[in-house]
Amino acid sequence: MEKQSAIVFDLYEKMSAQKIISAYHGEFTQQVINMLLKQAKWDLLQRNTEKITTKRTYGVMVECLENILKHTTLLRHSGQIEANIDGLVILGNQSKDYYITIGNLIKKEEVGILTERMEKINKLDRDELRKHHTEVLKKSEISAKGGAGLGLIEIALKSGSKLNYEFNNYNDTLSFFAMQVIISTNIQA
Amino acid sequence: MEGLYIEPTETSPKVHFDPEAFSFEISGESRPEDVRKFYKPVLDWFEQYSNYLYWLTEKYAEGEKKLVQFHFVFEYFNSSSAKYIMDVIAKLGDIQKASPNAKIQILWHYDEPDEDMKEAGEEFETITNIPFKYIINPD
Repeated sequence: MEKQSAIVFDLYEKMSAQKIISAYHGEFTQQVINMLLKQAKWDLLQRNTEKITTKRTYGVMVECLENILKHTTLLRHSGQIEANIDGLVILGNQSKDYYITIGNLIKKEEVGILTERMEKINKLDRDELRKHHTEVLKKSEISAKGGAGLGLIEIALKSGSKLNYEFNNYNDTLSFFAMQVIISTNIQA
Repeated sequence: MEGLYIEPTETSPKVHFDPEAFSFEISGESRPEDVRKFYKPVLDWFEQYSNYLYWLTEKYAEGEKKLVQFHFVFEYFNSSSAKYIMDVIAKLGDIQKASPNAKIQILWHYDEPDEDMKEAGEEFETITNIPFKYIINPD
C-alpha cells in the first residue's frame, strides 16, 4: 500500500491548485446534503459573493446533490453492493466564477436517456431553455425517483452555462457519471 | 374551521394558514426529502377551505367581495417542489372559481436582486393563469 501521508499531501496540493473550496467523497444521505449546503452557504457568504450568484450557486448545488442522492440510493436499493456507491462533489472558485463538479456511478442503461436530456438542454439558448422548463413543469408527473428531468434544466438555467459531462466505463453494469457546471457571474437576462 | 400550522425545518417551509384572521402565508426554503408527503396535507387542507369559503361568502350581497390574500415568501425551492407549488396555486384557482364572492389574490414575494425568484412566479402565473402581485422584500 502506498504511503497514506504522501497521498494526502498530493491530494492537498492538487486541490489547492484547482482552487477547491470544499470537497466531499462518501455516502450521500439527506443529512450529508444538509451539512454540505450549510457549509456552502457559509463559504459563499465569506467570499462576499453577490446575492444573486450565491442564490444561483446554492440552487445548482441542491440539484446536483439531490441528483447524486437519487442515483446512489437507487443503486443501493438495487442490490449492487459489490460496487462502491459513494458520490463525489466539489465546490470551487475559478477567477470570478464558481464551479461545482459531481461524480457518481449510474446504471449503464440510464446513460442513454441522461445523455439525450443533457444534449437537448445544451442545444437550447436561454429563452428556449425557459420554455422547455415550463413545458416539463406543466406536464410533470413526479416520478417515483423525484424530479422528472426538471433538475438538469434548472442547473443549466441557474448556471447560465452548458452541462459539461462525461461517462466513464466502470464495469459491466455501471458507468461513472461526471459533470462540471460553471456558475457564470454574468448571465444575460 | 381549523387553520394549518407547519413550523419550518432546515428543508421545509413554514405554513401558516389562519382562516379566521384571513391570514395565509407559506415562507422559507422548500426542498423536503419527501416532497409529496410535505405538500399532501397542504393540498388537502385547501380542499376543505374551498367549502368553508364558499359557505362564508355565499350569502354576500351582490357586488360585495371578500379579499383573500395568499402570501408566497420563498427564499428557495428545488425543482421537485416546483410541481407541488404549482399544484397549490392551481388549487387556489379552483377555489376562486368555486367562490365568486371571494377575490383570491396571490402575492409573490422576492428579494430585489433575485430575478430568478420573480421569474419563477411569472412562470407559475403563465401556467395557472391566475394573476399574481409581486412584492419586493424589504432589506
